[in-house]
Amino acid sequence: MKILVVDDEPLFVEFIKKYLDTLGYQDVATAASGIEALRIIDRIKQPFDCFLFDIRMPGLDGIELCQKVRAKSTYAATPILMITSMTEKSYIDRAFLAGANDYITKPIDRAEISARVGMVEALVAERKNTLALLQQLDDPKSKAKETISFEEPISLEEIDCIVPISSLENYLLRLGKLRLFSSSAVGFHVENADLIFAKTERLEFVDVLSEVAVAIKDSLKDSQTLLTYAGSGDFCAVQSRTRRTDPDELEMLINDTILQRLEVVAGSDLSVPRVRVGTPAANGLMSFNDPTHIIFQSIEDARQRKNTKYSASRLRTKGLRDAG
Amino acid sequence: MPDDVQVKSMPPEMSQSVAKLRQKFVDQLEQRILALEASLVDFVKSQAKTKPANAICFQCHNISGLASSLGFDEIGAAAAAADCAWGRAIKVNLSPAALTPALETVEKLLELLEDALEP
Repeated sequence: MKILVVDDEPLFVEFIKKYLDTLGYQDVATAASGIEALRIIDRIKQPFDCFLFDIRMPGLDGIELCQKVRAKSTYAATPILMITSMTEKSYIDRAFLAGANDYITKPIDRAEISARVGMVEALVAERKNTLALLQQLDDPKSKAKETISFEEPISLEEIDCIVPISSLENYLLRLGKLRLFSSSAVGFHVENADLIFAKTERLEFVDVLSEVAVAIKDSLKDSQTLLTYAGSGDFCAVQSRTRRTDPDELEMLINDTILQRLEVVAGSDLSVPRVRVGTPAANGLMSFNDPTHIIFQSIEDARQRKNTKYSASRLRTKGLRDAG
Repeated sequence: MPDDVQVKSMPPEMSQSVAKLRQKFVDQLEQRILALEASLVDFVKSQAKTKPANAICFQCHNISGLASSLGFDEIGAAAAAADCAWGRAIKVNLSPAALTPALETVEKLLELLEDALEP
């Protein structure tokens, strides 16, 4: 695995390199600043598989560097670990929103770096599978050999604030009890996702999911929300618990937004996705549950809910309008 | 050299590397002390204080992460405290109420760094 470590403290960089070396990662390049890192990234022939960025650096900080790297198509999904002694939630939130997959806190210990980089290796393998799939989708001859499954948690990288589900799980696992208590998860289920999947080419299905993601993101109106696609037509958003989310109102707003966005596609016979919104799920302060269970609990709640009367009638009138 | 416990609990190949890095850290202490003192002088003398204040903050931040990772826990904690104090002071435009504790934390850090220089 080819790794780039970026930190403005040379002795710390040497320390991380030694640790990575003892863990079996010898192909490690280093940079002392964000600008130097970008120069290395642009020059290199074989892309990096993983990045470790210090957050606090003079000039271009680690979060800005993360955004710039994510903007490069080659690195849209490359695992990025932030190294930080900054435990304030705002830094962690900004890091995940910028596209980071996880973070390592200073002081670094061997077990933590081994666990985090080990997770990255798994992400790299997952990413290679996704890239192979995308290449198949682009190749018309291979459309008959599509391997994407309905259950697959496809990474919708180009949408702002969408993170892979593994990153959202990491985020919740690392939050700590108090911060976890102040967060809640809202589940969204596209109730006709299986029908859309059956009727469309896979690229179209990804486009539909992207439209749903944008509708959810716009309806939530919170730039700090982390949203993920969990597969099977399920999305989950993690946001501050203080945000009062009325599932019925949010459901109406999302479905109206989807209708507006997809109505402009003239001549399209795409089925319009219908989204159900669950009640927010949160962890109690004294809870010993796995923090990530709120993702699956919120999705399950969304799956169990019935469409509101309003959105059902709106869909009927759409049918009438379509019939002329 | 203080705080050897962390080094002893590592695998042998890492222990040797960290022991060398710890020695390098101690060898570089004088430079770090001089750099921090220069930033403090710059801060006191400058009209525009934000830039030297940020420089002090960054230096404390770097010492904090490095020292605590190498097992110099007391230095790491003092540097982290100084980093936080200066960060807070910068956020409130270096008000006197925030500046006094910030300066005290750097003084404490400098004392610990000087103590670490002694054989």
